[in-house]
Amino acid sequence: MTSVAASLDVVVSPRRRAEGLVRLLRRPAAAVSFVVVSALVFGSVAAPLVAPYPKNQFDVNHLFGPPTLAHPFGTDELGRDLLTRVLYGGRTSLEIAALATALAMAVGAVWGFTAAFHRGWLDELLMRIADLTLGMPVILLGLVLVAAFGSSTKSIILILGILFTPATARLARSSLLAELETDYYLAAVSVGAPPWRIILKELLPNTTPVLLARASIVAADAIFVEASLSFVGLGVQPPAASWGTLLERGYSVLYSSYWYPIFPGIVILVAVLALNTLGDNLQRVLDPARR
Amino acid sequence: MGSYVLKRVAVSIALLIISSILIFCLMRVIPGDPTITKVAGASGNAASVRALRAVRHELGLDQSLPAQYVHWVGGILRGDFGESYYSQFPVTKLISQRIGATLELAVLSLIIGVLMAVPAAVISAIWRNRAFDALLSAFTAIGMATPAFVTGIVLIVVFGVKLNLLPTQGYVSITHHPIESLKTAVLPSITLAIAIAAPLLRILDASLDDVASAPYIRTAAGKGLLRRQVVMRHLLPNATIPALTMLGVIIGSLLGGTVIVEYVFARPGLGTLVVDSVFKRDYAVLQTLVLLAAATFILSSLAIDLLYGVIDPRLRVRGSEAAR
Amino acid sequence: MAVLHRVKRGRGAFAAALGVAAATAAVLASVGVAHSPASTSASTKTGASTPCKQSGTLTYGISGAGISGLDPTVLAFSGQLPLQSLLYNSLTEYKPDGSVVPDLATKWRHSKDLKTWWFSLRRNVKYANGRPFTAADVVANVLRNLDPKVPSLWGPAIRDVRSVRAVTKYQVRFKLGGASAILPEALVPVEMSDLTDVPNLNKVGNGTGPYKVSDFVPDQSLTLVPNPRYYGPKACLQKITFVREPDPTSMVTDFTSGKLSVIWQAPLTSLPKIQSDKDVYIVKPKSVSAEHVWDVDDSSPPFDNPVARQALAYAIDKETMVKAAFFGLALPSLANSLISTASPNYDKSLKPIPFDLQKAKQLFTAAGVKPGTTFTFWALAGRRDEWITMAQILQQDLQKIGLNLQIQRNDLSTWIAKFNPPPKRFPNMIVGDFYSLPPNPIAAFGYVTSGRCNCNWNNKQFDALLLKATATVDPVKRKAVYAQMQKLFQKELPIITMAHQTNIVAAQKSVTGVWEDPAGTTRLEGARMK
Repeated sequence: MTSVAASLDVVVSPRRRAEGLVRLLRRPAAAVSFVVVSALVFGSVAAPLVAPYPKNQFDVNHLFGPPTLAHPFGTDELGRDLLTRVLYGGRTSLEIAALATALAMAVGAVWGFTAAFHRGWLDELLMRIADLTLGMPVILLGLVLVAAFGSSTKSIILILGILFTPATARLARSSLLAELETDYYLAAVSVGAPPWRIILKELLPNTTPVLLARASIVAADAIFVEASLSFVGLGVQPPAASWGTLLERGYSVLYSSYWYPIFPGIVILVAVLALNTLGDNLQRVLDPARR
Repeated sequence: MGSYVLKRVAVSIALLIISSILIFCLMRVIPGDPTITKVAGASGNAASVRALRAVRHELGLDQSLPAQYVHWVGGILRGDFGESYYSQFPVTKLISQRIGATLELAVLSLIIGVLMAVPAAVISAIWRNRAFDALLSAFTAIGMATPAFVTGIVLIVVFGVKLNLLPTQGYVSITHHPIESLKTAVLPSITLAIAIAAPLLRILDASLDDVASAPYIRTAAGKGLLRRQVVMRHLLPNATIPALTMLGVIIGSLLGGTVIVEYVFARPGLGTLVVDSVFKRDYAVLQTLVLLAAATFILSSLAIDLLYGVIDPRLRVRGSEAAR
Repeated sequence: MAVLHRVKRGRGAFAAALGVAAATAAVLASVGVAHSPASTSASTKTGASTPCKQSGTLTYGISGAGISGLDPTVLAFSGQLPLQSLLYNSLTEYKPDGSVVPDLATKWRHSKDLKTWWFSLRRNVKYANGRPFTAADVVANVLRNLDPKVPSLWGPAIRDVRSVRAVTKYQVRFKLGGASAILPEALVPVEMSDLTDVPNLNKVGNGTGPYKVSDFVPDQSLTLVPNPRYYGPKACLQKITFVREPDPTSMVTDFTSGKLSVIWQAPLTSLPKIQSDKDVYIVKPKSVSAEHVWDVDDSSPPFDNPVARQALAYAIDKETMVKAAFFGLALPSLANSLISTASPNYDKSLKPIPFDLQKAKQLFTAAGVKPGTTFTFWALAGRRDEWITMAQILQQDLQKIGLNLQIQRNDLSTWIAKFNPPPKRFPNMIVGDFYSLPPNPIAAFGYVTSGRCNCNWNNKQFDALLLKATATVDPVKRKAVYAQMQKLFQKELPIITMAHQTNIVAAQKSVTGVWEDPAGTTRLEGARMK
């Protein structure tokens, strides 16, 4: 994808960037995704206010209850309300996704920019390191890292951050490389402007949108991989729950309480779908060739 | 060209060696110890220190790390990849017992995935029907957003449990019973194929769009060529490059993709071997599997790189970075 | 995960053991533990089984892990225990009623001081590969179990054996360090494998049992076929296939769709589904000795202080936990005993430890546990979900008295390396564990003797009582010693015993002759298919 965008020498001016958000929200799919993501974030952040029950209220007389008016999503293995669990689970899942993404973006950007700017052996070295980690199956690396760091929320953030950094680094590198080849950069350099100033004031801001679009997709992937890790039993630790661990627990009682896994499953699907769509549309809006 | 190929090959070999060292060290620094798991794993009860020492010696784990590494690499050079700490089967035998199930799944899902994505993209480019395009976008979006295990569970419930049309678990060797073999492979292959087809379709679609707006295509269209001819003759060949890259990445990471699918469909492939060897710290098995995965990835990206060099010399260096 | 003895039953069909053999059972029961320096002779226990036509393939589903090796001495996974009676034999074996009967031995006798034992062997027995079985094989197998370098599960139960010698080709003599009235019973799990090829034993599983290995993919599948050289009645199945399922859910799904004939460790949550299916049934053991326990480290703070252990016991609401985690399908161990309340050896005078948070708080304070202390509950990932349910209940209860419990699920290797090998310290931790305790109290108590307990409990008085029980021939007197041990165990609380429960085994109605022993092992050697 990137090389397609990167090989086109088009300047994205600051003004166009400002228009970007407006254009983004004019696309129906993007607008819907934006609303969905906002709603999920709101539901999770405001969980203590909107959740129908206290966070960990047991009811050992209603284990694995089916959906009722009192418990629209049913109840879990300790009689806790599943709607409440899903809302609080969103806190965990979204926190993990947001922080892991931030970590991957920050480290990946520095990594990629350094490579792009220095070129030569350092570039080669940094990119080969990225290749190295990209060559290992994500789930395998994930399993090994969980064994190494444990599976608290903090370590899962760290692990997902590590997993998504190399790909981000490559993207950051290629987008800065593309900027470095633009006419106006070459022109600015030729009239004697200090390169670092051009980089700070023009080039970096120009790469931000690409990275932002990428961030949205990384966040989706983070939710995805966290769920996969939960699926083999290595998700966050109880009583905390994430959508992934709720899905896993639900899957284990699929035959007796089929409704249990359905809601966490749907929420994961919707969240990933919305984030992917948002990232996609962001890319299209910001990529001048696609307009 | 020759020196370029040489350089790429050299870098690939270096990468392989570094991957092997990396996983070798990583496995040994994480908590858990195969000796303890082997001695006490069945009982969870008191392992005697003497038994532990004896087993550690027997497995060669009492040697220094460099010595262990040299021993391992030395074995590989002689074609000996070591043996499992638990079953004591040679790793090569364990892999050959299971690779059939994984290969069948990988090949079938690749074929199905490509057969889903390419015609769909071509039809969309020729037909230019809004509804069809919307359908395709929906498919790619949902396909990319659905974890393979969710797709798998849904397929199991619908086709296996409710309709009882197809087997939902197990594996029959293709040489042993081809029809049964394909039957057991259908659902897992479709599950994985969806995960392959969605991104492939997306990138094909995008690059077809890109190429379509290129001036020479407009010229071609202006010359009065039929839309279908323009697509098949000009658009498709040019749009293949990014798709090819994507395919390379997909093939390279296929082993990772099969893990979860095999897990859900109880297929006796390499997937369970991967998960088991991590949980049981079966170093010899895991190291070999990682090497296999890294080799597949490196070889496929090398192949793609070289292919680029053939297709378009200008793209030599940047080619491998085209994929997301 | 813990496994010790299994109860063996006659190799014949289950019906035989209950029906025709019932008459001989009474006779056999009395020879199990000899009361006086008597010589014991026994008839072949399988003589009365009904003949059968070899037919059908039994598929046996296990989940969570697969069978990775076939060595009967160094076990890799408790799921492979059914193999012990399919591939191998030992000198003696259990009948379902718990009495000990001859198997590869035909009779035995002992000296007056109970320190020397002679076992006569069955003749013309051959291993599956055709090699004859003799006294030398017994010596080799016993010595291997005693070898401190070999991580044998059964060695500790016979560690008092000082020497073992082949007197003739078909007679073996044991000399013990101390008196033992139960040597034949301690030998039940010591299987006789072919040790002329130890490096390959784990792969080929050469034994004298009714079945032999035909195909083996480690951790995935294992196929057994009848062993034509078996000395007992012919096996009734054409094939037994052990299939490894990735997780309990897919196992239950495949079981209810009929693809699996028998499943082991069915999750409790699947019970309603299984019970509502009229084509299948739950295989219920006659009695249950296996137990879920919570280990604490008795050698590091705070649980090196018995008061802290008592406090913990008061904070655990066992009744609610059993209700929530086991749907009431387990016997809560309210008085903290290793012996099931249903066992005749249970000490009925034990008083239950009530759930009392205020008392717990008071005792924690007395033991110097500061408010706000965080304990860790150490559990397994991907299996034993019931531990997590119980731990969350404790978590909430501890919170009420100002203490925290952090739950940590781990993969197998991380889990086990935390407390192994003893005397590894694990302060501030509560470890979820499962002991497949055998029905014999001596073997069960052996789990917590000095140097053997994960909990690092070293109590000389308890060790001495165990020796006393071992040397006591009179069952009534022995029961009195057991009672003393249970009282001491309750007072000291080296570990918290949660509930007695076995693995849930379910079978298709087309399968008969499957049973489950008290330690939770599925027994398939007498299985047949309709």
